[in-house]
Amino acid sequence: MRIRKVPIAILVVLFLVLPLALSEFWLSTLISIMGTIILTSGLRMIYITGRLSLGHTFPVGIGAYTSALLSTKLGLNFWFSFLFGGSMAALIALLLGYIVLRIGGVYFVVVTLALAEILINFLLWAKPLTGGVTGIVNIPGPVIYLPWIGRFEFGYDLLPYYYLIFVIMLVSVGFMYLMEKSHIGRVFHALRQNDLLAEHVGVDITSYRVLAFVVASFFAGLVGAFMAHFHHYTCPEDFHVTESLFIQIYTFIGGIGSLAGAIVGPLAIISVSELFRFAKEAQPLFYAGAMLLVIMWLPGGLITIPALLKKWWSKGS
Amino acid sequence: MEQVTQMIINGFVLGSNLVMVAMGFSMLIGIMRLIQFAHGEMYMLGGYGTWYITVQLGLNYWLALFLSIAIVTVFGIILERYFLRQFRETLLPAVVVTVAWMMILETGALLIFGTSSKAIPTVFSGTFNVKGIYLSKERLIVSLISLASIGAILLFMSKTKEGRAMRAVARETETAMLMGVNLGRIFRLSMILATILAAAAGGLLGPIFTMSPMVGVSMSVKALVAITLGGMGSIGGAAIASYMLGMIESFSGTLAGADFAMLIYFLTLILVLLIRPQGFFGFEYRL
Repeated sequence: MRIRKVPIAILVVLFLVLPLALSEFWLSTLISIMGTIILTSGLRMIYITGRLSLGHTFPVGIGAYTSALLSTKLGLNFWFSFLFGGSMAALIALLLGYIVLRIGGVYFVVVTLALAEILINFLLWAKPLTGGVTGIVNIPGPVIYLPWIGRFEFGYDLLPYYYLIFVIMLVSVGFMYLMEKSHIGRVFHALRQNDLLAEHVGVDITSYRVLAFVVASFFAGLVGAFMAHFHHYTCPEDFHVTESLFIQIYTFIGGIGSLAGAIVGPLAIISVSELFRFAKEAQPLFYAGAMLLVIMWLPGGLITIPALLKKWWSKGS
Repeated sequence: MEQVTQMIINGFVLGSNLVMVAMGFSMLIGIMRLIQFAHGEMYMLGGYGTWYITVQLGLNYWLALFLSIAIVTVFGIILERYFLRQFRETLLPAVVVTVAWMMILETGALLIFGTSSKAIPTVFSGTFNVKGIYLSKERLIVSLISLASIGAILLFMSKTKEGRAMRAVARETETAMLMGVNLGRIFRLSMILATILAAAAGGLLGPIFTMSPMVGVSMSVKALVAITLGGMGSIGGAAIASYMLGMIESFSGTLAGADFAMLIYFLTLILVLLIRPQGFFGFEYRL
């Protein structure tokens, strides 16, 4: 993907100005979309090393609960607990990564599903620590000290959260973009295309996979921590298996071929499905229909639409 | 002692719950090389179909079971032909298609039948009570039927021409094609067998475990765990692993609570995968 400076600049400005004109409902939708974009970009990075994960809620859950526990039980400042949440997810990913990433293909899929299930059942079981089914409530929002205004609480207002997740998204997606552009990214692609060959030219394949896994898990942990503080509560149901299936599906619908797909996927699917909110119970039908349409007729994902249109236009004239 | 015997019996019934779904799942993953996430929904549909025909239409239970299996199987054939076949031997696209169908069927059941769980009225009432150990007649009969189905499937796979062709496709698809095996027919046959098993399990277990639209997803995940333990594509392995998981669930559930049981369940899976990734009886798949 080559960088198109002008469209990206327009998008960034749009994202900065847009919330001032949006209703609360769309603001909170955009916040969850941006959180999901970080998750899909991370999943894509695991994918380009040749591993398919269906358990990305595992690091998200670790981040959420670490941050929530630190800030409610120990009264830690949001900014520290937030970073701790991400680091904890990264640490666990590092420890597990060297073991589980040696397993490939469909077995890795099952392992990631199992990890997500283990997390949920652990959270349900360890009631004294995690509160069981009800989860943790009354998680405080972030507080910052501004030079002139003084103490500023995020509280229940949506706008500060919007800008915070926007900054987190820019940093994390930018980081993953640069990583993919660098020497490391080329090794990642080599691993997916032929890991045996990569190993034979001297690449430590497991370490590179662990690197992708750890980076993706770190950002996922940050998203989890942010979401816990944003919603002011967290419960095991948030990290259900279907949630992690969804994250992987957004990536695919957007187009797994480039990072733009990981951004377009959640943006398109979540915002259009929110339009169908009036049919609350039938909403999954819309999701599923979109998935089937894309997989049957757009195997490259939504990002291939412009190229296909161009081809169709030139054929017609 | 009595408690232990009771736990073993409960584990056996829980295993019977899983085994028919897991065998079909294993067959599909072995032959078509895709994870059919909508497979648990076939179980759910079988249960709901039987419930609808017995309770709403007032037909005989066995007739209802037969009709519901037939309807679900027709649906399974269509699903395989137009949605699954072209995505065989893929990982992510197959996940997307089958998860889409999983959502469609789950939401459809939710919209048509509502969220409240449904119970099929029992056909066999009464319990055996041998020295303080309880076993309802119904559970005994269902366990026997699932044992019989394991036997029937294993016999089919080893003795008939079609069964041998299915095993050949599972081992070496290209070689089997060169030997003149009609691949499309084998895919359809395996889908039919897998769907019949899952729908029958749903109809048979409906009177014991209640049906809800969500039951399909948890069934798929459990079956996936069972076939991973048993070895993907191995039907006998899936059967043994199902009973083993039933025992684990029963023992740790009675001794330490249901949440802890599920924790042990998945920890066992990861442990086995680390020691022997291809499962107890499987051969490794490159998927």
